[in-house]
Amino acid sequence: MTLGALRIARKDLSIEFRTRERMTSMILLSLVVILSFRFAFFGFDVELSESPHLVAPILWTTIFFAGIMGLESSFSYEKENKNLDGLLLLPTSRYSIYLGKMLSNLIFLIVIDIVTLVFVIAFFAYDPGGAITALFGVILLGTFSFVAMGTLVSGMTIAAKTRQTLLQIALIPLIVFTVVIPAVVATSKVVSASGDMMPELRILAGFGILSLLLAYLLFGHLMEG
Amino acid sequence: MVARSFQSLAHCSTHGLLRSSKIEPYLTIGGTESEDVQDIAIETRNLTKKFRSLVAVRDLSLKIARGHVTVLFGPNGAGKTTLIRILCTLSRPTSGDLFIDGLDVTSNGREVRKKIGVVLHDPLLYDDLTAAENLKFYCKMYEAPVLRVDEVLDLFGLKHRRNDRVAILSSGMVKRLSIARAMIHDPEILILDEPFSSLDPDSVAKMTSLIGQLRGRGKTVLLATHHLKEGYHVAERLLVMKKGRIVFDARKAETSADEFESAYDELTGAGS
Repeated sequence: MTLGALRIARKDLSIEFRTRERMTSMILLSLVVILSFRFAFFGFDVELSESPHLVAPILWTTIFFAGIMGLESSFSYEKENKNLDGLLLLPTSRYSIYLGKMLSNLIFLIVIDIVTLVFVIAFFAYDPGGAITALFGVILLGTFSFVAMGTLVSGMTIAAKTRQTLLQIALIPLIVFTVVIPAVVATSKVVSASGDMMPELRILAGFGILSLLLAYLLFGHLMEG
Repeated sequence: MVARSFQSLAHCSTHGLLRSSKIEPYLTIGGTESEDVQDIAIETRNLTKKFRSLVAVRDLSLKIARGHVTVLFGPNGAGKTTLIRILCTLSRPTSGDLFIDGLDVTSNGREVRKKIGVVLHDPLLYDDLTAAENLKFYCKMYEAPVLRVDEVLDLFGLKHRRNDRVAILSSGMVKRLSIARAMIHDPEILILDEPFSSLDPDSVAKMTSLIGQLRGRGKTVLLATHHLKEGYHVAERLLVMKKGRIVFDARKAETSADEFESAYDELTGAGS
């Protein structure tokens, strides 16, 4: 991680700290999705014995929805006043710009991960107990893989008029088998305390590293294009 | 090569002799072509930029001398902004060579970006950060001393607004802040694209004064504009671009404002 990337991420966090636009939307979305699932499956029942089976898909559905929303606005600071040109004029590598944006996206989404996990524990009466570390580890790895590819695709679509639609169309097929399914399966294994989750973790880690490599090779060309 | 007077250039242009930028490839301010690379801040050799079938910059060869204010005029669509974007490494030329401060831009992009300060149409500032926070961010990215922030805010008359968000500054102040951003790392070469656009008369006067100050500090300034009066006022060398070519190149000392305006109208068809 270069110093330039850290400074770009810090700048994004400063803007978000001032406006709170992105985090507010993401947290509200997370709350609405969790509440919808809670009342769709259990209504006002207090007996939630089946809820652990639903934790993994509900957790990840919420994180992916909120994450895509966050990625859509990831480059919005750079679109206003064409600030991306300002970044490209800096004597730093194009890859540092990607790393900076990825780091800020990762921090935003980790906050959402924590909030969503708290909502799931609260509304589904789920007690992770001793599995909390493993659970959070899987969530972090899935989030990293998602953000690594998501930031690259978000950068690719920055100039498009229909960038929100384009981001979803381009990103979702890329992450279904490489992030979504492995993350849900690994989380289910942690929640049910059964099965070896190493194959899924390898896929998540491998895809994250592949995304970083692709960004290293492509991001500069994408920005100059 | 001896610099041609305005009259001879105008004569040539009337007879269609200046239609190719190749005719005046190495004209430099000061009267003679300088062979000393130390005196050349920007040099292009047969630079061409194509967007599919559209040729925005056409076989352009040019030398810009160090420490002077060169103004590039031209109507909309002449290729000024495309040329500026190539010069500041935001766009790659289709063919040709470009050197900034003696460095080949294609292989030394990062080094070149340290040496130039660029002002584009848009201010390249974050609306939700204050004037000081914006400059501090750019200052750190250029690894310049943070003390420069107050220095340039003072230089551009914005110290009293340092803690105001960019979103609430006037357009004139934003433009000045934009130049302050470009100057934060004290570059030797300033490239300004349309610095007079969307400014009221008072802000235009301040802007011309600022450019005068930059000249006084020995900076090389390349300024692209279609504002004839203001551009002429700050210029030492006058260039006119049309359809991707330089069609006029003269020292300001050789031509009055009226003569230049007439020549510009004739060359670009602006008066017709």
